[in-house]
Amino acid sequence: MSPDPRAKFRALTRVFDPIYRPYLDADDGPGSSYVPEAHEHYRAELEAALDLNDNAKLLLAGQPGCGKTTLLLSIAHRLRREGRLVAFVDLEAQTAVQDLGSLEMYLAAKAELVAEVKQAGISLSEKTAEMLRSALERLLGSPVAPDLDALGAALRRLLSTVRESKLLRDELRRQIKESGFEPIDMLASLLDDLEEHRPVVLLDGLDKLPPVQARDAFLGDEKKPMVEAPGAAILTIPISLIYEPTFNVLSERYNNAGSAVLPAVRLWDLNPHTNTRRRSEQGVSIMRRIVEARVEPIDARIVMPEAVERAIVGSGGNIRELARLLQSSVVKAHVRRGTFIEEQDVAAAIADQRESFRRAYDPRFLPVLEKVRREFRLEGQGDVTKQLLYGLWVIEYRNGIAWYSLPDPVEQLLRQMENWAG
Amino acid sequence: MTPEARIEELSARISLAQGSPSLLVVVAESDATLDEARRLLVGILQRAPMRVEDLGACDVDMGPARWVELTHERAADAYVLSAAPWGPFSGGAFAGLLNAEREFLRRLAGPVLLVVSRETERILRQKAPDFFTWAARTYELPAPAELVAIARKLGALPERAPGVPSEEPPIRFLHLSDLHLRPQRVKRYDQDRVLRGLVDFLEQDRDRFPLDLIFVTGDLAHSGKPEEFELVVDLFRRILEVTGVEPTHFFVVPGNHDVDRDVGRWLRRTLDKDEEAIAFFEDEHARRFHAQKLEAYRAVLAPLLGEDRALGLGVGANAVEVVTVRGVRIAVASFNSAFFAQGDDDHGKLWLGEPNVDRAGDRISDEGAQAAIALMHHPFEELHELERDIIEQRFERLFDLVLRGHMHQPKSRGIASQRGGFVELAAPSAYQGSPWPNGCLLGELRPRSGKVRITPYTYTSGADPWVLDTKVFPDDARDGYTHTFSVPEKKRTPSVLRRHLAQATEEAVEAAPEAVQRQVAKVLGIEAPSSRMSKEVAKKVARAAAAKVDDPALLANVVDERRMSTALSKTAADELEAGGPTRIPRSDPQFLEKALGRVAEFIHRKVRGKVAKDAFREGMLSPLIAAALSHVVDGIVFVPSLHDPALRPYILIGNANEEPAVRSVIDVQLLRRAGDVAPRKLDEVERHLQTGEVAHGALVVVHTGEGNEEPRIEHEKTPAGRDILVLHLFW
Repeated sequence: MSPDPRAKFRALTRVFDPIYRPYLDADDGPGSSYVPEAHEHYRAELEAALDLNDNAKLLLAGQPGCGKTTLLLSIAHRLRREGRLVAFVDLEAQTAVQDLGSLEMYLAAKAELVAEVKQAGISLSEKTAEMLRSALERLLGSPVAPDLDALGAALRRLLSTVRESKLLRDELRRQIKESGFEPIDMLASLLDDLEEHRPVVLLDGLDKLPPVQARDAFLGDEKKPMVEAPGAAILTIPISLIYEPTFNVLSERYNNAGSAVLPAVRLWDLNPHTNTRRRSEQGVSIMRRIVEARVEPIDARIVMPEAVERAIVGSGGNIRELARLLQSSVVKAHVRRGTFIEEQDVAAAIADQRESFRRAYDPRFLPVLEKVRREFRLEGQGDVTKQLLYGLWVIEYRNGIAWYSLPDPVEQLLRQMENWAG
Repeated sequence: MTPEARIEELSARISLAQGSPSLLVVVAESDATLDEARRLLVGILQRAPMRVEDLGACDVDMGPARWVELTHERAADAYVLSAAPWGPFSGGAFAGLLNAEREFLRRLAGPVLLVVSRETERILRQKAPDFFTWAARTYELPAPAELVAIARKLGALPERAPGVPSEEPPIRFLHLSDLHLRPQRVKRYDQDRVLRGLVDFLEQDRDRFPLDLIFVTGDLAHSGKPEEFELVVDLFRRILEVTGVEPTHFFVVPGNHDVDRDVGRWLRRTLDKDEEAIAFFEDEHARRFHAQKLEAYRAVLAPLLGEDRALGLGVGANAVEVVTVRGVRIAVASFNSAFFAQGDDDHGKLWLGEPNVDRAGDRISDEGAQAAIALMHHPFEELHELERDIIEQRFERLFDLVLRGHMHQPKSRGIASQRGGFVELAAPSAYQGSPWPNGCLLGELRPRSGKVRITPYTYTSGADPWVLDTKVFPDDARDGYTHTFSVPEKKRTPSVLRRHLAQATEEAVEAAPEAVQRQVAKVLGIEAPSSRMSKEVAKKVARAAAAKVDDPALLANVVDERRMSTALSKTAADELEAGGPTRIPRSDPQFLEKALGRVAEFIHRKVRGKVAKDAFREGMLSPLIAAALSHVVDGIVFVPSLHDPALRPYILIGNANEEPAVRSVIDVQLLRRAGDVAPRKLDEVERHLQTGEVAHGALVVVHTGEGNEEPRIEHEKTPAGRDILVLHLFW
C-alpha cells in the first residue's frame, strides 16, 4: 500500500462516478477499461448486420447506463480499422436535442462525414462538393470556398447558429420547406458519393429526445430518420419508444427493430421451462472484468474480491449501477477510515440504495414488481413500466426472449415491506 | 443513518470527488425552505477544509450547460445550487432540459450538489429518468430544525446582513368564503365542476408544500337548512382529506346565509344601545334564541371539526382558539357577525359586540400569541353605527389579519394606524355559478418578519380550471401577481395590567378637575354639555377613557403617579401570585440575585413596552420593584420614602431585628438616555452596608433610552469595594 490511501480513494471515486466515461481517458477508441464481452452477443449481431448489408439501418435502445454509447464507440473503432468511413455523431453536443429537427440531425451527420472524409484523405466528387457549397452559401448568405476545410467550417458554423437560437432554427426550417428541398437529400448525395468507402453513420443521442418528440419522429407520419439515406446507420432511441403499441411497424424500416434493446449484462440464466433463474458465472465474470479494468491502474488490491462480488449482485447487471455502488462503497470506506473497500462498505451502499428506492416508491409499482419476481415478466402497463425500467427498479435481460429481474436493493425493499405487512 | 452521519458522508464524498465532475442530488423537505436549506448546507460543508461555492438558486431555464460555465468561472472544490420549478408545468420543462443537457455534466469543474424539494425530486425521477441515473447519489437533508442544530453545532450558521429579516418559513393558509351550497337540480353539474376543480387544485397544491390552516368566512350554505349543510360537510371532508390539514386547524364562521331565517323571524332585529350590546354579549342566556338560528350549522360542523370548537358560535374568550404551527402560536378569533342577520336589509343592524371583542383580545394577549387572526363574515361597514368605528379600532390593536367575505369581491387592504393595524382580506366567492367569478386566496404568513403574501386563484374553464388570478393584483406582475402586505407590529397588553390601568384611569378621570375631564372628552370625541358637567357625564367620560387605556398619551397626561404605581403594584401581585413558583427563602445566600432575576423577568415580559416610556416616571420605579419583590421573596419588603418623602426611594428587604445575612438594600435609578452614566447613586447602599446591619446590596437601573435588550444582572463593586448586584432593565 502506498502511504496515502486517500489519493487512491479519490481516483476510485472518479472512475466509478456514474458520469465517468472510460473513453474520456483514452486517446482513441473506447478506452482500455472497455470490456468487449459485456455486450458480445448483441455486438456480434450488430456487426454481422453491418457486414452483410451496406444499407443496414439499425436501432439501439436500452436502460440508462447499460452501455449504449460505449458499445457504439467500440463498434466505430472496429469499423474504422476495417477501412470503413464512420461518422460518429454526438447529437447531444452538436444540436439542441430537446428541439431536434431532421434538418439539424442531418446537418450534424454531414459535418461529421465531411470531417471524416478530410481525415481519411479522400476527396469528394466535384458535383457533390459544388452542391454542398452552393446550398451552404444560400443558407448562410455568405460565400463559401469549395475545399473540404471551408465546407466543414461552414457546416459547423450553421450548426452552432441553429443550436443557439430557436428563432434561427425556425427560420431555417421555413426556408428549407419553401425551397421544396428535403433535408435528407444533401446527406443522401453525400453518402452516395462515398459509397465505395461503405459509410456508416452512428447517431448517438436520439435517445435523449423527449418521449413525445421521439414518438413523433419515429412513429409519426413523417419520414423516419435515416431510412431514406444510402449507407449503413445505427441510431440510439429512447427505451420508451419500444413500449409504444405501434413500435413493431418500424421493423419494416429498420433491420433489427425486433431486437433493438441492449440488455443488461446477464447475471442470471433463466430456465424458461422451470421458470427459475440461476446465477450466470459468465455474466459475473464480465462484470468482474469491468471493475478490474478500472481498478487495476489505481491499485488492484484496494478493493476486496468479496466486495466486488457483492456489488455485482447488487447492480443487477447494469454497468452504471455497478459503478454507483462501488463509488458509494469507497465513500463508506473513507468515512470509517478504512484502507480497503470491504464487503461491509458495499452492503451499506446497497442499503442506502434500498432507502432511495423506498422514497421513490409508488403503490402502483407493487403488483408489477411482484409479477417480475415471480414470473420474470414485465407486462406493458404504460407509465409504470417505463418508470420502472428507467428507474432501474427492474433489469431487462435477454437470452432469446426478453425477461426481467429485480436488482438486490429492490428485492431487499420488497422483503422488508412483506415483513412489515406480515 | 442519523442526519449527522448523512451530512458527514456527504461531506466526505465531495472531499473525495474534488475536481472531478460528479452530480449529487440533495433533497429538502419543501420548496418553501429551499433557499434556507441551501445556505445552511453550504455553511456546514464549508466547515470542512474545502472551498464550497454557493451558485444560488438556479432558474428553470438554466440547465447543466449553464452549470458548466458557472463552475468554470469560479475555482472551488464543490458547488451547490438549488432549483425550484414552480408547479407541474415548469417542473416538466425543467426535467426535459436536464435530461437533454445531461451530457454536459461530464464537463463540470467539480462535484455539483443540486438541492431540490421532494416534490421536484419526484418530477425529475419521472420525467428526467436518464438525468437521474447520472446522479452519483441522492441525499435527503435533515428536517430544517435539525439542519439548523447541526449548523449551530459546527458554528456554521450563516451570518445575515443587519436589518435583513431572516428567512422565515411561512405559515400557509387557504381562505375560502361564500360557497352558497344547496341541492341544485339545474346547476348541479356546474356546482360540482367548480368545486371538484377546487379540490383537485388543492390536492395538487399540497405537493408544493402542505397547507397549515384553512379559513372559511361564512355563507357555506344558502338558507341555513340541514340538507344544504350535508353538502358543506361533504366538501369540507374532501378538502380536509386532500390537504391533510387537521380538523382543529380548519376554522369556520357563519354568514347571513347560514342562519335559519324561519327561526329568526320572531327575534329582535338589532340592538339599539351600547347597554343592550353589553347585556347581549356578556350574558349567554340573552343570546340563547339567536344562537338557535345556527343550530343546523352547529349540528353538522361540530362533529366534523370538533365538538369543543368555536366555529363562530363562541363569544369573548370562547371565540378564540390558539394553535401552534411549527412553534408559532397563532390565535384565531372566530366572530359571528350574523347574530342579527335576517335578510337583505342587514346593513347597519349587525353587532359584533365590544365586550365580545375585548374579552377575545384579553385571551389573545394573555396567551402570548405571536399572530392573531380574526374571522368574520361581514365587512365593518355593515355593523351598527354605534360600534362600527370602535370595533375597527379594537381590531387595529389586536389582529394581524382580518379575514372576511360577504361581498363576493376580492378586496384587500393594509391598515397602519397609531394603534397598530391589520391586513384585511376579503375572499371572493368560492362558488356563485361559473358565469360569475369564483375564487379563493392562498396566503403565506410570516409573523416574525411581519409579512403576509397573498396569491389569488380563480376558476376558469379548462383542464386545470383553478388558475392564478392576475386581475386581483395587476400591478404585481413582477412578483407573479401575488402581493406581500406588511403587518404592523402589535403591543398586546396582558389583561391583568390593562385591567388595573383601566381602573386607575377611570378613577383618575373621575377625580380630575372638570377642565381635564372636558379635555379628555374632547379627545375621545364625546360631546360634553357646555354647562357644568354632571356626575353621569363625568362617569361616562371616565369609562370611555378606561376603555382607551392602551393610548399612551392618555396614561401620561391624566393618570397621576400614585394611581399608576398602584395599578402596577396590583399587576405585580396578580401576575406573580398566579400559580407562580413558591417564594425564595432568604436563608438562600443567593436569594437577592434570584429574586431580582424573577422581578426582571416579570417586568420585561408583562409591563415593559405596555406602559409608554413617557408615562413611566422615576417615582413609580420603587413601588413597582418593591411590590414585585414582595411577591417573590419570603419576608417583609418596604420603601421608607413612602413614609418619609425626604428619603431616597430605596427598598429594604427584612426588618431591623433580623440577621444582616437575610437583609438587603436596593436602590433604583432611571436612565433616560443610552450612555447616560450619571454617578451611580450608591450612597444609600454603601451606607447600609457599612453599618453592618445589611449584608446584600443591589442597584436596579432602568434604561428608557434606545435599546431593546434582555435584562441582565452584573456583579460590581461599590467605591468602597463592597460587592453589589446591578440589574439592568430596558424599558
